[in-house]
Amino acid sequence: MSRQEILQRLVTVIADSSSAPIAAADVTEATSLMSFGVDSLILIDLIFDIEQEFGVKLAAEELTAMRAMGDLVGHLEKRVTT
Amino acid sequence: MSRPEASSLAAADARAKIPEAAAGGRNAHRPPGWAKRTLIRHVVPEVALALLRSLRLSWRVRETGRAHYDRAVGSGRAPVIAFLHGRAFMLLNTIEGRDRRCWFSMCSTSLDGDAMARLEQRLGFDVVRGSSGRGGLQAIVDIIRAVRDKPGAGACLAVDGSRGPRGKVQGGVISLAQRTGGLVLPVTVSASRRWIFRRAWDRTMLAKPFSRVEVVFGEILEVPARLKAPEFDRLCHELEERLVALQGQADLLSGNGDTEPVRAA
Repeated sequence: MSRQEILQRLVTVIADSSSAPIAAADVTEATSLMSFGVDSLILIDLIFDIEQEFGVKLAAEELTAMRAMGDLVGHLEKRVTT
Repeated sequence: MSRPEASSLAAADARAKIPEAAAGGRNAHRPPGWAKRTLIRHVVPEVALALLRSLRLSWRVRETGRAHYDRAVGSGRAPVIAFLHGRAFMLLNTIEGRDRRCWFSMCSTSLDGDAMARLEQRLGFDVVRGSSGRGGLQAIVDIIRAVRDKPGAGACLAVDGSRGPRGKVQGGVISLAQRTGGLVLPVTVSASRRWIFRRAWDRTMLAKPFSRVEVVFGEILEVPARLKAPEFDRLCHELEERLVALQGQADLLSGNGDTEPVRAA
């Protein structure tokens, strides 16, 4: 799965979890995860939505350590393809 | 109803890994020695277990709203039993081994939490470690995965733990229900004669020997899998109101005249 494809699927997942409206076209790998208004409870949604979408079990600590979408894309790229 | 920003939560989790002595500040002190740790982790739970079991033998336990409990466990979905921290000792003691079901509970990662975790394990619970203050996000994720992975399991959660404010529902219980069986069963307990640990933040209650113990189950709170923030907060508030009302009912049934509000001011 390409990085671009992962990014697009992630944007869909985050848009479902987050209450903030998201303009998919404006989201790049440099976009901050915090810009989506993600709080601790939305993070729980994200962890399980990512697990369902990509089959990757994330630890809360891994997700909270990520700052930009690119960090998450890179992490998933490694875990999805291996 | 705590919805901390993710960045602050990450910081809280990071702080949890720093030994208190290294973190400095007013609370900095040497970690407890081997003897104290052994006492708290191994001796205190066994003494508490013996005490609780002895007390339970002498209690006359009466249940109100039992139909709500039966409906929750008979639904084929994973129930989440929600109660206030201050009544945990008495409730866990009456839930122990109920219906031969696997019940998951949560205890903080502190030294006191070690003792509580050990006690709950000896009472037959499967314990996940973490709290709203330390490693809480991961603990909620872990307990969700544990309940989902074990068919027929349920969860028991003190909703205002691990450090209060007393009577204020934290959001973890709703997140847990969202991702498991979608139902929360509020429950509380009171006693005709009791000790109240007034200096504890949660005003822990323990029924005295030969007391009449009133366990009161409330109506099931249905929790949809997908919730937007306002609906999430509304459910937290609804659960809090139900628990406060149930507490009043249990106190009335038992004749408990404690005038201290259930919710901390």
